[in-house]
Amino acid sequence: MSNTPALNIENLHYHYPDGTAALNGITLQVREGERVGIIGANGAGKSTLLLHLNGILRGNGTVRVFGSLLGKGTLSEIRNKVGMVFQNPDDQLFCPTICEDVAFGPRNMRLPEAEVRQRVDRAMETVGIAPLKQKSPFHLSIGQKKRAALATVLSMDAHILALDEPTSNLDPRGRRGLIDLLQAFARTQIIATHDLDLVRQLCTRVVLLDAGRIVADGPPDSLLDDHALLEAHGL
Amino acid sequence: MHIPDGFLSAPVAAAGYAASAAVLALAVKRSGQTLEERQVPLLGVTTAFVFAAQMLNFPVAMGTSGHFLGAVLAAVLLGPLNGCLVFAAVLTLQCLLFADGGLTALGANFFNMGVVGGVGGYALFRLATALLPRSRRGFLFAAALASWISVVASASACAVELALSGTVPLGLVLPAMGMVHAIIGIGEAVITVATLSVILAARPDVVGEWRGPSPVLLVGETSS
Amino acid sequence: MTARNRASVPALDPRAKIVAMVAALILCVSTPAQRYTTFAAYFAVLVAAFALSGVSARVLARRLLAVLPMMLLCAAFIPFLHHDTVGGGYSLSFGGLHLSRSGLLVLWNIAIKASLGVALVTLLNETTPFPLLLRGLEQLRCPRLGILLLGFCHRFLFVLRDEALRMKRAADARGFQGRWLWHAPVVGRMIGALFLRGYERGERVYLAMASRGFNGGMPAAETPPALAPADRVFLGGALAVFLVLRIALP
Repeated sequence: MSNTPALNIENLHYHYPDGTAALNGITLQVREGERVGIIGANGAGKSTLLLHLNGILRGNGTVRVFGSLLGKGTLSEIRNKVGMVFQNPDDQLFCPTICEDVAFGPRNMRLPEAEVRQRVDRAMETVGIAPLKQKSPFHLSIGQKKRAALATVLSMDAHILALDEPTSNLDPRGRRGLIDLLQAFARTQIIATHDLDLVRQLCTRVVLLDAGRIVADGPPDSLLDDHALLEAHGL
Repeated sequence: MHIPDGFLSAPVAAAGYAASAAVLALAVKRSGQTLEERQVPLLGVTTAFVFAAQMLNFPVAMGTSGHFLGAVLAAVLLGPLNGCLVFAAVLTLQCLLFADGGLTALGANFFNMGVVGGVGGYALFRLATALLPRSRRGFLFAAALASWISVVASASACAVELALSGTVPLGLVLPAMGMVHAIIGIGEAVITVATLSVILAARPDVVGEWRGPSPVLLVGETSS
Repeated sequence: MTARNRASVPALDPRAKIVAMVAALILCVSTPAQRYTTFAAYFAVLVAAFALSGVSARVLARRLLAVLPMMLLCAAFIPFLHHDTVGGGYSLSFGGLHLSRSGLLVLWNIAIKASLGVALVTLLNETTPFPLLLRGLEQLRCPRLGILLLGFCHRFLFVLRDEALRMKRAADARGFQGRWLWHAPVVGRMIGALFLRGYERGERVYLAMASRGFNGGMPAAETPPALAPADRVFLGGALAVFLVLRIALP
């Protein structure tokens, strides 16, 4: 791979339609293979930032994914590269069966049916829910649903995983399982979370947001031990 | 108000299907032109909502209860044709999943609740909003009136169909059904108004028929 | 409620089951009420089908109960039905007897047909998980928009129902006892909150779909395979049995 960063955000601003500023000039570069934890108090702009990574929200500023500028023409290409996993798996899983849900992305990419099936099998294998193929999401535990939600973007062969609160509502064992799973992926990961232990175990870098600005950026060990800093920004 | 199998004669059941198919074909054709992509999941979730809302019984008096119909509510929120699609899905699901309403009577059931209740109620709602002052109060009053009548009209249509099929005598059943549902309709109106005022307070932008003061959006506008 | 996988029938193609059910239902409903032998035979076939498929009679009983109010409503008017035909009298003469007999025939007609209808639908949905049922309907060329809507609705129905029940429980926990009509606004506010939650969920679902490349059209599913021999045998057999009963028996 060249030196092109996986993700390059420059001076990104975003206001909600009622005028509230959500992002205030975010500039961030992520290299391929990095696992970046985005932390910050409620309302700091973590989820809003994630929603900009694949153009669901579009503010002022530029977002580049592997060098290509996010815009109308590159939207579908970028959505295939950035796999977005939402916080609540019930929002992500909408098909009658898990299998169809995992196939939804690849089918939108207009892949041949044989390849779709192959990718579905592989993705479900990877997250360890292969036996649940024909199940309805309603019959799954939260842990299984979170894994299934992850599989729906793995099947698209996303280069960057953007995860919103991947461990929320999980019991300790489900949480450990998910962390192990994420640890095994070599892909670039951007994780918005309140779970500081997850960041410590998983991430190679931490970005601290407050009021739509990056207030700290560094390795987890030093940053997470700076209690004064965390306290000052609502954590 | 869900008619089971066997209550309708073959001509009445067939006529119910024919009328329903015509209305649905129109709704699908129109919605195919105007249905924005984001509306597909919204329609689906609204369908589930109407289904869930019908499971909440409301009290009428001393233990007896009626359940919410929601035909006018759906039409006011989504427009009459989308409301029709939602009702067709709700009734089909109730029939296939819970055997609530017969499959052979599905056409008639949809006609009574979706077309007579929903489209008819909606037409009345439009008429009332045109005559009443253009305010929140006028809007809610029109919804109340339309939803009360929608219940009575649905029940009456049901009674007429049963009578045409020779299952009940029209002269007695029509007033009886009408009277009972005139009371149940009060509950329907009260619930429709309460529901609409909650939604108008929090998200006026989602009430399709609301033409009042412009809303403050709470969620970011999305683009795709 | 939820369709559970049962041992014997689920292996059959849902298309075969759907067509068989609809055909049987139409034949049953169109049978004249006086053909008691035919109805007895239908009943026997259905008892056998329930026994073979292992669908519990309790589910059926619960659903039959739901038909009861409508049945009682009609039953209440039976004495007044056809009173024109006997000159408006309620005497216990021969005319009176005749009156009650034609009324009873109407009652019998709706009772047996409604029960058979409920039994047939129950048989289908208790042996076929809903997603498979939907796929079967799609393969039978039902409109895609309808299938899509049913799929969404089924997916979120239980999520919303649980939310509705949680709200109701929270209200009950604070001493809400809905007993009178003027308590209805409380239910209305709950329904309003339920709608908002549902609507906002719809918006989030849309975002999640857009993130995976959704742009209005649903990806086409694979072309349906032909019916397997076993499915053909089942379908042919079911059609033959009901046709013979409908036509041949007195």
